[in-house]
This record gives sequence, C-alpha cells and structure tokens, in this order.
Amino acid sequence: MTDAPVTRDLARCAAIVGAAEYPARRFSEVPAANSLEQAADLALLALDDAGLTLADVDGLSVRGIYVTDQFLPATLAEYLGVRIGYGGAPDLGGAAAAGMVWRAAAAIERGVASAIVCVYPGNYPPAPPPGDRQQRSFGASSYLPGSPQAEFEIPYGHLGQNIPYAFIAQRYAHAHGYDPEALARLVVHQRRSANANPHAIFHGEPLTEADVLASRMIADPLRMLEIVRPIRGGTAVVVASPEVARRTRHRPVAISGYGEGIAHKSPQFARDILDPPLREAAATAFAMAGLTPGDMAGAQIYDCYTIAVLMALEAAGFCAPGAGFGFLRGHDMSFAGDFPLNTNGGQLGYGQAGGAGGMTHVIEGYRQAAGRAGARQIAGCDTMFVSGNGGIMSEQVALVLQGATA
Amino acid sequence: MTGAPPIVTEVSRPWWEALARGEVCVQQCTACDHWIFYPRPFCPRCGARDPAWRTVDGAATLYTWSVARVPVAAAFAHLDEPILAVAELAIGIRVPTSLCDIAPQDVRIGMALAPVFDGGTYPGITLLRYRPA
Ligand SMILES: [Zn+2]
Repeated sequence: MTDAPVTRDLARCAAIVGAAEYPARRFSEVPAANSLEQAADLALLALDDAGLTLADVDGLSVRGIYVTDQFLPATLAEYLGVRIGYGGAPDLGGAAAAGMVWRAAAAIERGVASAIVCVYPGNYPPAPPPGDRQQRSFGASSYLPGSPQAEFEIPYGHLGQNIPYAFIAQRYAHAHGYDPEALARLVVHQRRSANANPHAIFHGEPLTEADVLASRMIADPLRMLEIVRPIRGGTAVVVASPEVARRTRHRPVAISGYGEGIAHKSPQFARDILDPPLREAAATAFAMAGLTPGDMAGAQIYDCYTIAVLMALEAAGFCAPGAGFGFLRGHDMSFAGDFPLNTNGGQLGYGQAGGAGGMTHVIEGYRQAAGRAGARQIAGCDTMFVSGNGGIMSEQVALVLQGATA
Repeated sequence: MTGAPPIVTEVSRPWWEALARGEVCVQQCTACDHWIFYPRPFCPRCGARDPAWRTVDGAATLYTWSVARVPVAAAFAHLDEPILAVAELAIGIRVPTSLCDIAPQDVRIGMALAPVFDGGTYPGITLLRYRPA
C-alpha cells in the first residue's frame, strides 16, 4: 500500500492507549457471565493494559449490559466506583464500538474528559420473559405497536438479518454481476489470518474456497460460511487525551479521523439500496485525517456478511462502485498480503461476540497501528482504517487510526 | 403462534381497508406530489402535512428477492422456503411482500408482477402479495 510511514503527532488528538479482548469461545465451552461483572472486568483489564487505573477514568461508554435496559453508564460508573464527566451508550448496532470511540475522541478533544473506557461485553441478551416472547422474539426487528416493521415487514416474514442482506446482494448482482468465488476467496483469506490468531474461534481449522461454495444456502445468494459465527467474547478499549496518553505503556494510536452515516432502518425503504452511508462516513473521516484510502496499511471492515465487506470497500473508496469483485480477486487479503483485511480473522474467522458491536475491529486496528499484533503484525504499520456497520448497512461509522509519536 | 399479523395504526388504516376491497391505495403529498410509503401523517420529502390517499395500479416489477432456506423465526417455521421480495410499483414506491405461484429458479429482478390480495394468511387482514404477471 503506501510507501511512506504516516505517523501522527499526538497534539490535539485523542488516542487509543489500551485494549482488552477475551479469546473467542464456543457457547458450550463457557457459561454466560453476569454482563455487569464482565463489563467491569474488561474495563479493569483495558486500563491495566494501558498502564492506567480507575483513578484515571473520567468517562465511560458502554453497551451490552443486560441487567438493565437503561441508565447503562450510571450503572457501570456506580459499580466501578467512579464519578465521571462523560457517559455514552450509542445505539448503533454493529457500529456501536466505532461510534463509542469517535464520540469519546470528540469529547476528549473538547476537554469534557481525559480518559474514557469504552466497553462492550460479549453476552447475548437473556431469554425474554414468557409473556414478552412475541414482542421480543424477532431480534433486531421490532414487533411493537407503531413500528413500521411490525406493520409492513414482519407479517410477510421479512425478519432478521439474513433476508435483508440477501436483498442487497441480489440487487448488487443485478447491477454489477455476482462472483461467488471472489467472496469465497475473501472468507478463505480471513481464515488464513484466523489461523495466525490463537484466540480466533476457527484457529486451527483451515478452509478452502470449495468449502465456502459448498456450504449450506441460508438466504439466496448467502451461504453459511459467508455469515458470521456467534461466539462468547468481550471487549474494551481506553481512549485518552494526549496528556494521559504520554504516560501509558504502549505506542498510542491516534484517532485521526472519524465519520458517521445513518441512511435507513430497513433496506426495503432505503432511497438507494446500493449506496451505504459508509460513503459519507469514510469521506468525512479521511478528510479529517488528511489521508486517503491509498495511505492505509490495512483495513478492519465490519464483516457480518461477505457482501457487507465488498460494498464497504467500494463505499470507503478502496475501489470504485461496482469494482469490488475485481478488487477481491486482485489482492491477497490475509495479514501477510498486499491488502491486509480483518487481520485477526474478522468476525468470519475470529467470531462475533454478543451485541455484535464491532469492537473486535477497533481493537485489531489499534493492535496493528500500535505494533502489538504479534504473529500477524503488518510490517511497519502506521495507518489503519476501521469500519462499523449497524442494522442492515443502516448505520455506519468510519475511523482512521494512526500510530502516534508521543 | 403462526406468523405475526400486522399491527395496524390509525394513520395506515386506509391502506389495509383498500387491500380488503382488492385495491391498492397510496398516500400522495398534496404540496409536492411525492408518493409516500409506508403511510405517515406528513410528506418525508417536503414536510407538508395530511397527504391524500389515491387509488393506484397495483401492478409492479420485482425490485429484489431472496429465499428463506432457514426459517426467519419460529413463528414462520410453517412456511416452506418462502420467496420474500420487494416489489416496485409504477409510481416508484417499494413494498415488502412475498411471491406466490413461482419457483426460485424462475425469479428474475425486473420481472412483471401482478398483485395477489391474500385474505387467507391472517384473520381480518388482506396482505399484498405478488405473482408473475
Ligand atoms: Zn411533499
């Protein structure tokens, strides 16, 4: 990718200074944890990783705590025993983690706080109480009175994530053609990276393109191995001011650019189903950072489905709209390749923890730019693009990260 | 529980009443002529209030589709690999629907569709489904 290392002076720029991530585990391997205990444990682990303590914390951003439906930052602040100047719980689905990070950066840059822990535990919501079952059993699709989904989508069986992502894929195929082999190649390259990550759920399980293409059809044209694998996990990062960052123990990673876009709830009602809001989000992030897609040493792109990665590469400007399949065929996307993509294995190779908040992408972007990615480290990595994707390409966030000179 | 019937709102009641008569009625903005779906008490293009209901041609073309090879939820497990779809009417609105009288291998985006006023899925409700024209 880029020839010249692009490091960033920390002045006036918030940075990620530490992270915590549980190894991916199968549901049969570990029981569900108390999500509040887990959030606190992850916060302490991330602070310890940075060389900070609870006494440094003056902000919290949190989702995935299921002991309550509301007051999340206050609940965690009380539990941790901290008094804070910033509390966030961004409602952005799979863009929530990237959304936490840019909101934390913006708050720090305006002087509201100086060290914000962003926590996303890895639990799944507990089963709904029996009387509540009908209203809650449709996952991300709302069957509550007044919800447009309850009236115009769910009655026909338009439910969950597979079908609406398949709707987008079919429409993409109509506009640009479809190349299942190129998508299978992406899955295989990410699996190669997963095999360099001992914490990945599919570590030690090599995969071929033929395996992907032979996997069960779930929602035409989406096959089983193109869809994320749910796991148990848990994640947190610490975002800090330049002053705090200078006394942490690893290379800080500056949050040089960020952007957000929200276009619709359901792609059935999108103005343009092939124009995801990552387009505006990434343009804002790159302009803020003063960098271009060509300057990135790699990318961590939210990969709930292969089609989501393909369209994110186009929307973020790594290739032209409609040119995604050629891009996938033209690059080695493993951690050792010429376009390292989802270098921890991504959600397709590492796994997707409960909440699906996208923090694993943020953490892997941080690790690579901090030079802490171990066996899968991209040589001389100073820049990283990270995307989050909530709903059905409904709400998307872009981050441009840069290894920083303290 | 089999399926999940529409939770009808006061604003959208004319849509469902029209379907029960075998008609498709859609809101149109009286200020900017924008066709509005799903129903709302205002126009999402210009903000004008109180759109008018107009009877329109229910014929459509197929905008996109998929097949639920795995049930989308326990409440829909009784359906055998339903073809779920989005149909686009000539006036430009897109409606979530499902297809009948066609096999997956014959489905093509852009194909002409005819409305099916399905009163048999939910008691007291007529769904707008589609079949090949
Ligand atoms: Zn209007």
